[in-house]
Amino acid sequence: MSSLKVDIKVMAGSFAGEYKFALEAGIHGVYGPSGNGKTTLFNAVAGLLNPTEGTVSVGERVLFSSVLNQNIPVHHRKVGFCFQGYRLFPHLSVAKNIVASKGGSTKKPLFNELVGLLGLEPLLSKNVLQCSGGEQQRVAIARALFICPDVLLLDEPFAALDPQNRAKVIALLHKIAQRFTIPILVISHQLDDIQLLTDSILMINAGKVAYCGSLSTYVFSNGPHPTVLSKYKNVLRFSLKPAEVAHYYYALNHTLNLRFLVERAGLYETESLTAMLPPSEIVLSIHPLQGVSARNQIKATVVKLYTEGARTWCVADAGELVVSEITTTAAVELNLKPGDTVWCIFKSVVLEFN
Amino acid sequence: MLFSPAEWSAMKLSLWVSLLSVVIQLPFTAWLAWTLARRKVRFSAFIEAFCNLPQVLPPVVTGLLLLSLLGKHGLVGQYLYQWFGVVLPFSTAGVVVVSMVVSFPIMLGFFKSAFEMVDKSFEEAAQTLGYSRFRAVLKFTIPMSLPGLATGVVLAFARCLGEFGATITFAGNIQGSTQTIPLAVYAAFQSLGSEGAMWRLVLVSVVLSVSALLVTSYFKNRRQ
Repeated sequence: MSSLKVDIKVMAGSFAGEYKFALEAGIHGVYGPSGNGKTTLFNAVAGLLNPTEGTVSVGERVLFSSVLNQNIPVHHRKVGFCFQGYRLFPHLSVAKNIVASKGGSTKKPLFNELVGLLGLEPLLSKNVLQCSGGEQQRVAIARALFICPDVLLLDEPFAALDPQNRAKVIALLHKIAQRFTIPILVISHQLDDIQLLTDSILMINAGKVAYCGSLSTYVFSNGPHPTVLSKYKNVLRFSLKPAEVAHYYYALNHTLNLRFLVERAGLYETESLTAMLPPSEIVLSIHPLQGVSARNQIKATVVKLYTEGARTWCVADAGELVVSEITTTAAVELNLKPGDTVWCIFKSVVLEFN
Repeated sequence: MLFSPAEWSAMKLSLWVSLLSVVIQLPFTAWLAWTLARRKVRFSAFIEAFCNLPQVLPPVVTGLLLLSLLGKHGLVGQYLYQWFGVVLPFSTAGVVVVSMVVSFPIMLGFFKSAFEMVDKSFEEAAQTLGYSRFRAVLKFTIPMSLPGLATGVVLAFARCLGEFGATITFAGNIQGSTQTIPLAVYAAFQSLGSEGAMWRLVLVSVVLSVSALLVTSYFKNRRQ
């Protein structure tokens, strides 16, 4: 099993970056505002940009070391790179793009495996320019995986995708992570995309690693930065049970005692569902409410409160940790403090099912 | 026979001279176009302006400048004669040199824009797929810029076929050694009773030019 270890300083024009982290096999989200050095980090790992000093290694292989004076060229690094904008070769078919790597051939067993895994069979003879954005994304992933990489880097894979294709790519990345036990780094400036993919996060801010580890731990224990909290959404997981009406399913979350009727679509075939619940959509009450239209009232115990100016985030334990965002004035008026019992109330329609 | 031996000779010479001019200048033009398109070159605007001179100068001026440069007593020509015994003016080799000079800006322009149209990022993508920088260029950049490169070659070839003013100034109009199709048309136009030869060669010129344009539009469509 390979792990990616990075401890480097880079200069790209006037931009200076300093990255230090270690990531094991699995999916990791690389999160941070645009222009803060996420792609620069990827370029340095892939060898497209030389660090000024430091070390990059995958497993036992040292890709770059200023101390050892070692710099493995890009074409020998075995770093799979899915670029933003894909960079597929426009003069080649889908099949030829997938096997475009050196020595690549459609006769290799991995070709059929990747085509099957990524559902590319009907597209193989098409020119890549005739493919939709989602299809091009899948071709780019297949092309990067065809080199049997030691690390897979995906730069903003969701940027140009509609929500349906986004959900498809997320499901595919989970499959890929099961098949290839390598570190898979996914850049996104949308925290909710990363939350749907993984809990492991590498936060980049102003060219530096602001945090590397579990997002839940960061949000629930470490006193997170308000910019992260304001983007954070609760991820609720549901199992599916067929309903009486054809094509409808019940989405069930036993811990929070939630039940929703959802229409079956292609995306729901995995028999589990994820829904995002924005903290700002939750109303906190210190008594259960009666005579309100909101159907969901979850009893919880306040664990932590983070206040930043006019806004307060309340982390409450309802079997799962739920974050809600209220005004600081409301928090003061309710006299909220850890240990208090609260009811988290929200309308069913605010859930964003994926 | 449809064509007289003199007409055949003009046609063969035109085709050979055009082919040689294009083939000889191709590597250097490709290198220069690549350099101007992809690298930061000092005084690149000046270099490009100089390279494009033959396109805007009156052809007779180009011919005269070439004479003063490459003539037997010219700046460079005197050494060519002294050291190698080479005399370019009024020779077939001289026609090739003139054709190269006048067609060079066309080829350079098309090559440069063909290379500029292929984003450098494709080479980076190819490098991550196991190709060295050089092989990435050969395997992906060249095929991707091929329609533009082919258009440049065909139009440069057509320009050589049509070259007249600089050639007659530098190489004269000697049947069998420097008389290309345009010069043969001019000679026939000036001599009484040669209308038949003139129109036959005019027809050949038109057919060759239309063919070249059809080939370029084929590549243009492929690019789109």
